Amino acid sequence: MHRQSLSLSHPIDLSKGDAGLLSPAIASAPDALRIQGLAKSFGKTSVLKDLDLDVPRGSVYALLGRNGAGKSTLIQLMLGILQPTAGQIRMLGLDPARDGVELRQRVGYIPERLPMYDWMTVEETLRFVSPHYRNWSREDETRLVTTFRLDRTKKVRELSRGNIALLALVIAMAHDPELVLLDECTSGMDAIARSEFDRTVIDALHGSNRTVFFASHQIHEIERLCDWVGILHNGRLLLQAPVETLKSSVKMLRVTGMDKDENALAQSPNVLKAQTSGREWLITVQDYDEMTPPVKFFGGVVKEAIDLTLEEIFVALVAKEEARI
Amino acid sequence: MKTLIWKEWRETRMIPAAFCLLFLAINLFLITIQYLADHMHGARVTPPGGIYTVDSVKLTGVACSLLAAVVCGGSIVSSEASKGTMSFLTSLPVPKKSLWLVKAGIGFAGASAALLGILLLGLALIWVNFGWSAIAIAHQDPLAFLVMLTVLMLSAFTAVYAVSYAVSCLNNQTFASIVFAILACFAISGAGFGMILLLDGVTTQKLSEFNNHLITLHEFDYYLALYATLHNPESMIVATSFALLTLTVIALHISNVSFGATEEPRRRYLIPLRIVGKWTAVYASLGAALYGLYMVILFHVQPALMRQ
Amino acid sequence: MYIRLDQSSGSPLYLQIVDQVKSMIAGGALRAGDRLPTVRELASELVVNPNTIAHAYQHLERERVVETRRGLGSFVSAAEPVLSLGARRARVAALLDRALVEAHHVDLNADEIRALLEERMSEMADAERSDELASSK
Repeated sequence: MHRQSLSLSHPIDLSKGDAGLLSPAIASAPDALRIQGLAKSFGKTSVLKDLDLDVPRGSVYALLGRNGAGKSTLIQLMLGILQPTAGQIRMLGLDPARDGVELRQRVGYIPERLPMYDWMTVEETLRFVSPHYRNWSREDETRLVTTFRLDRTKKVRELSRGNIALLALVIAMAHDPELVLLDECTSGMDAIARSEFDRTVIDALHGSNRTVFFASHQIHEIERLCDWVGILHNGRLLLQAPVETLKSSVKMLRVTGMDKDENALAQSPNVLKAQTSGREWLITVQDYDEMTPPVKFFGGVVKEAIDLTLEEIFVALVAKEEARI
Repeated sequence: MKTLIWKEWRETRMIPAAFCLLFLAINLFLITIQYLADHMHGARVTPPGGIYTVDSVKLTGVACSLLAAVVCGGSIVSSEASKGTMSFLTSLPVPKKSLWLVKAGIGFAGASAALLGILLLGLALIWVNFGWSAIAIAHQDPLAFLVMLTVLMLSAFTAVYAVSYAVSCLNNQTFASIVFAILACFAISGAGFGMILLLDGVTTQKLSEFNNHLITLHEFDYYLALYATLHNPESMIVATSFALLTLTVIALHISNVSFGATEEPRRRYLIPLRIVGKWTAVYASLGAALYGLYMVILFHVQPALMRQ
Repeated sequence: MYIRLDQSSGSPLYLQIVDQVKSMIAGGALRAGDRLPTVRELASELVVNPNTIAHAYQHLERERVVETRRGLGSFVSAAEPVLSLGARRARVAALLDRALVEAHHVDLNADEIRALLEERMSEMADAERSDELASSK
């Protein structure tokens, strides 16, 4: 097993109100999703290998990964649509393979391709879906439909893609789910619809101990919303950590007067990227300690530690992993 | 559950309507040709007796009903996959069995509606054009024969539907499913006929051997039951209906196992082979055992009882 | 409350919120006793994870910039610095160092830097005074 994990200089203890800022009651609750040793192969192709993943209850967890990393397969396994080749999944304490129907009562799922019957109107779609859920709330449904300004009499084929996604969100939320699963659903949405969508997800978090799981490419959009992030690469989880921990551990150092030993730099496991900028070097490291920031680096002087966006961190981590293989 | 039924019916209801219309259209077309032929001067277009007869109505009726069964069965599952809405259904908190059941049921309801519609239209056409007397059945007991024919027809109809439904569960495209279903029905009918011919050939051979004193009565007795069945219309109808109902059950089993099995599209086609293999093994051994038991009773137990 | 978040800078969102609240207070947009929006309200308005807002508010509370009254909400506290002079000096020193490095790079000499400093300080004082005049009318 070969996994490069984020080496934290100070371990994060969730039970204290420190990183993640979950109240103690929530932090000690069992995980919303717990995956151990998961593997999935289709014939000879191995899509997921020895995956361990934990999503704390009440968190907003973002699963990042390149196309083909295995995100959609993972979600299908989580919902019980596919069966694992090996390993264990417990979602809200249930096994998706055995208790799929009960799980789908408690989970709101919005898939990438938003399949719906285009001959049905918005109203017919809602009336088609609602009797199956025991916790369906007519008030929530009405409130959401009004907020999104959806025309109940319009047929689904007449709706824009953004409106279809909003309809899917109504269906996913109106039955008071404990866990909301979003698979790349805002791609192709215009900015306004996307903002409405995200705002509804944020509002839904209030006081309900609801967990949100995103699988997405739109790292820029996700960065505002999530407090945990997991990076999937080549079927394995590269790392998972609270976003703030990640952002405080992965920084870009501006260094002057360094020995230009490129090989040593590349070999060092904590150096993700190294590039020159005039006479200075910009080194992306993954073990930055805010308590005791480094003053010297490879013989040079550290002038500044620059914050990186989640997207930059993701790109650097994946690039390092790919260079290693 | 109720809303699932509503949705399936809304999607299916066009098919029976379409097939009733098709049946009507074909017959009107034939009537027109007949009319034109009869009233045109010169060359005769229709064969002696006419192109539009009671038999033609019956034939087109049977063909349209069976086709309706194929289309209803063959499209109801694969159209979900081809439109991509299958994942919408499977994401609902409903067990797969319920989804399968509602689809099978409503598809069959649609096919039955087509059958009923065509039957009524056919009777109306016959009554209007030929009168009730045209529907004569040459048999000593018309009512019983009619009942048996109905049973046969319904068994065939159900079997065709079930086979098409099974094909639909294995295939992702509606058009391909319908084509494969038709081919499968023909293939199965062909196999059935082939087997009957084979059995007939064997028993006839044995009969001639017996007549030429090549085998004893005792040996021939084993083939007698089979021969009698093959040459008796009533027993043939019973046997065929039974076989068709068995086929229906097997097809439904296959469809149940492969419903929503989107996982490995290639391996999916092994499912029917596996199930058919299992059923054939079960049935063949069961059939052989029963036949053997029947022989034993007929030739050993019964005479022994009679000797008492 | 209008807060503009710059995601491309990479700096943590909660710190950006903290900084902007502080500059709103320094600039007079927020006064002692003003009520801040609830975590939920602000999270919804900015479309940001409520935990981030909560973190920012906790940070502000720790620095006694903001105080929370049970059941009523979070309010801007009367300016009572709690940090020692040394800690306060250290804070500003770090920021000054960055400005000085930049000034060095663009070749401003020591006198020019001091003049600039005086300029900026008197401008801020002027702005504060005119705000007070405007609000008292």
